[in-house]
Amino acid sequence: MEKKSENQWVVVWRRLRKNKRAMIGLYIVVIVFLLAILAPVVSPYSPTKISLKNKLDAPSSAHWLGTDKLGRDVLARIIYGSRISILVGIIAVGISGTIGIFLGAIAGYFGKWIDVFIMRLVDILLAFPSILLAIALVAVLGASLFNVILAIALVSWVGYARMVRGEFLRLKELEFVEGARAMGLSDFKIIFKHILPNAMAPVIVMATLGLAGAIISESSLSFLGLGVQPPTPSWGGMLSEGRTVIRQAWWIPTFPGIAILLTVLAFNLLGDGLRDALDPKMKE
Amino acid sequence: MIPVILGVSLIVFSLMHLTPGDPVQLMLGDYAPAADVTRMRDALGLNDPLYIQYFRFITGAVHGDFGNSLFYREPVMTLINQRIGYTFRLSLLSMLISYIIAFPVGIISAIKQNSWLDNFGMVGALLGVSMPSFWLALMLILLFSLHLGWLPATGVGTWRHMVLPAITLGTSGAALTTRLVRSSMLEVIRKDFIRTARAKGLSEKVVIYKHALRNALIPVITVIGLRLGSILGGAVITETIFARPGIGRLMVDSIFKRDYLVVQGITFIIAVSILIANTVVDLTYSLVDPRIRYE
Amino acid sequence: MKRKSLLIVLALVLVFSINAVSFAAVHKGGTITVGIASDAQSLDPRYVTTASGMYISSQIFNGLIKLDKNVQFVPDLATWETPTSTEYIFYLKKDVKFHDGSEVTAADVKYTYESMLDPKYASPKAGNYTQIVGADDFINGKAKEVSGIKIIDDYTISFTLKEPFAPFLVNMNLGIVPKHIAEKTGKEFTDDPIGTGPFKFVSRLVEQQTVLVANDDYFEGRPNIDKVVFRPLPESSVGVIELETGSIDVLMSVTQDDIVNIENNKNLVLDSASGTNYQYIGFNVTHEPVNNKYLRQAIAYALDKDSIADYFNGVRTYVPLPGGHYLAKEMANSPDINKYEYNLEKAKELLAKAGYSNGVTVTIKTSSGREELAQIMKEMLAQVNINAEIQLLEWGTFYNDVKQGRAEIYLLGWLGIIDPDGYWFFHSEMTPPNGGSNRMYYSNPTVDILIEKGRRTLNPELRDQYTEDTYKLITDDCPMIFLYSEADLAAHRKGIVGFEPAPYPVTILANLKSVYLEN
Repeated sequence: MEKKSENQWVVVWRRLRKNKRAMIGLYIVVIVFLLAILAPVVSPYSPTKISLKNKLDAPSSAHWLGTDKLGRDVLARIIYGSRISILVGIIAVGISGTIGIFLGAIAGYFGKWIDVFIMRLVDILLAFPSILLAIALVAVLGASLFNVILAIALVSWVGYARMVRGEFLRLKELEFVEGARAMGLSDFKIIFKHILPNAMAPVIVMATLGLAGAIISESSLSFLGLGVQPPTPSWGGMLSEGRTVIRQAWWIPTFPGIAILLTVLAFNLLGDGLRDALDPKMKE
Repeated sequence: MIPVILGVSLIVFSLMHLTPGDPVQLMLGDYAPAADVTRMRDALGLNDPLYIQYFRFITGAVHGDFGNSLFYREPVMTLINQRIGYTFRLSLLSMLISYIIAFPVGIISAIKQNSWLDNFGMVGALLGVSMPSFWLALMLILLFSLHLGWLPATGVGTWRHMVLPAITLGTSGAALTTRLVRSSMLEVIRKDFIRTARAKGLSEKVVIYKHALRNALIPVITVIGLRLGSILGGAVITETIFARPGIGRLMVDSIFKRDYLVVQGITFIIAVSILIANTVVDLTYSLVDPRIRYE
Repeated sequence: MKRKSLLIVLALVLVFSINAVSFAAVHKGGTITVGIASDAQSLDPRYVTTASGMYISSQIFNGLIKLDKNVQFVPDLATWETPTSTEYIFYLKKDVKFHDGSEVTAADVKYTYESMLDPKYASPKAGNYTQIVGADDFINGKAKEVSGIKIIDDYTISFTLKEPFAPFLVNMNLGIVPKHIAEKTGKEFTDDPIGTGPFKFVSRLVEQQTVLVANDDYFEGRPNIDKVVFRPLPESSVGVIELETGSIDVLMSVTQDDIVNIENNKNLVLDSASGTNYQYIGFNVTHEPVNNKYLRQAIAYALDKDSIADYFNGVRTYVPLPGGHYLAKEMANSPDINKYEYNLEKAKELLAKAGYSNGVTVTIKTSSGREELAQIMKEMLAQVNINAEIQLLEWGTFYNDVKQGRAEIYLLGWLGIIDPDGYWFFHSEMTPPNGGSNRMYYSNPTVDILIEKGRRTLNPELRDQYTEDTYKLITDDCPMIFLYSEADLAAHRKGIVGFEPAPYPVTILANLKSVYLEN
């Protein structure tokens, strides 16, 4: 059993390596992670060092990407900001994906009152303007990094739940599930070992987009004054801060914007590749 | 539907009352002594026990009466009626824009998988999702209003006022939907029945548009329901930047002012409309996919 | 060449003289569109609490008195005198008509103030007038009218106060509403407001625009322009763009970040007036660890307040008054006022005296708009081993925390400060929950007495002396660190003649009726 599942991942990896787009995505993701981990080593300046006389300096040899309103180095803030933005993206998607997949799976698989109950919950949250929930949660809990992540995660799990439930409704009627049942496998095994892998493709697409969504949500919360606490840099926060000076200092919001774009692009390329590689119907 | 609405109403009521901050204090401002605050809270019914306030909210809501705004001193229903049309039209147009972009781009990307067209569409879509709406809005205003002078930046009135806000609001939707259309098309194209259709010698056009697309629509339709809530979230920012009247902006302003009754009223109305929309979506869903039935 | 420059000089002289006296060549007609930060929540002057609401309603209504561009009280509908230290008599100008043609009388004035105090109408401004004799009994339903507001004849009305109250006039610019109409329409009066002002209400589309037209019968003469439209534009940078594209003619909400864009456009004029605000750092003096006076003083010394003022383009102030106020200027040179000039050595000494020579951690709470100040503070305090943690909160939460005493250090500003009265801010009676505005929870019995003395005297020199004595004690106790005043900014398009920069709450709009458009 151990060996078989190991083989499966080897197969996935082999398929992934052949996918050029996915590999480009993977490289960028690795670079971003390295930047995040090695920030103190690679960053030219401290991300929080204020220098009022260098306020709004244009990109130059001293400050490659210019400085912000408080004279802080934009490059340094982008490098350190990768930590926060990636953290926000991954943890928010992780929490919402886990909750959503789990609840969606048991709702779709068991049906009956469990389904009714979970779907009611989903309906309530769907019928609830998500921005209200996010604002209220941050206002009630206080705007810390974790609470921002939590707020984003709690409003986005329903998407996964609905998606996974839909897939389960479809898949559980198929022959291989009947077969697994006939073999006397436990519900738990059928759900997570047999049905779920087949339902993962749309979930991965949703998750990679969700990552972008989470980074953007943090930015929108910053716009409303509820983002990550200063002076901690986050890409979304930099974008929101920079909007008031966009006409006189284009570099402040532009470079974090590019950072977001590249990262989102990379995760999506990788996600697409993973989906294809995981697809059991794909022949080598 | 009723348990869902009750759930929504209970959540919004408790959230608003849990949130620190007092509407009367915010309204009366800095100089108000305690006696004034208490007197005003009495006059507005804010000192009543919470269960009475909740009961008042629910019984009023049944009759379409959400009470009077604390800040505007007008019936909440009046405030909503003045604005809801603008939000509704903007949301509709932005959804239309996102589907007009998403379907052709998504389908072409899927058919010509890994071609330069596909790459182009993909980068375009990701550009769309990775731009916060306030940012896109500012860019559009700078380009089309300030530099080119083609379209008005703010206000309402003519169709020209709708263009930039609708593009802003529709972009992230377009991007998400493009990706979904593409991926579900890809999935469907690989399926046996498409191969069979092809083998039967049906023209590629018929295969794609009649067989593949119809099946690929299922997850896309599901997402329409999901999009409604987030469109409203986007409307908050869009309405603020483009200075449009709308319930998105009214709601956020009211949250910040702790104008409980307005927030409750808007949430209630939105919840009911989303529920209706989702019911319609669910029905369409079973129409498109005959295997799914709703008892 | 010489002749040309002479011509230019002549032309300039001509332009200036027209500006100064505006005796001829005033073009009549036209529309001016004004961008404001948010829509008015009400146009009824008795309920207006926001700046935007005030901008509109002050064009429709007149008060008994008003503030001129130098922030001095001048007659509006009435002249006044103070026969005793507790009595104010207002003499209404005759033949002033409401927009429906009826004349303004003392009955309208009495009605305006009484209806506002009436708990049935729950006006948020009622608290400003409880100094009037009989107001409390009226509010509590023990009296049918306010005994301290007496109609002497149709054009004369007197207000009697419980005790001498120097800043009484501050709130007497409230717009006067017509009794016979407001009584009938009640709360709906705001939907079709009728006043005496230079402009008449025409229509209002919520969150879109409010339209007013010139009042032909205005008692000071008809405005030069025909129409004024107010449009709410919540995002200030977009407001500037609308000003540049010509969609609006005047922008009332200009931020520091917008200045460059306005100055770079030759079609725009920046109206900058020395502000009536001051920005400060507040301490809750009952909260650990800043209940220690030496720590507060150490923080004051550790901050380079001149650089901070420079950074925000502000005018430095050392006392709880706007930097441009004559008393603030005087006290900047007073040896009695501790100015806490930037001095790290002194900060360290005081820190040691406070028992924190190994450093201390404090929390700064603030809300959107002051996050830069918070970050600058954090950086400066780090130099003397004070670790400041920033909590950027949503406004409603922040405000609540400050009032409830849950913010040890908070960043705020006072707006529209035109009187040196320290009662609201520093008197112990104003400490929450009983009061609302002494959020430092500051209490010094000597300060209380000095403030009360200052309020009761109507002798200006004596009052200034009391003020200085008060400020001396306050700066020493250091419940607040006074930073700077921002300029009050607005902007308009070239081609509009006659705007005069004036601070909040007067603003350039005070002069709107005299403004005209160049051809």
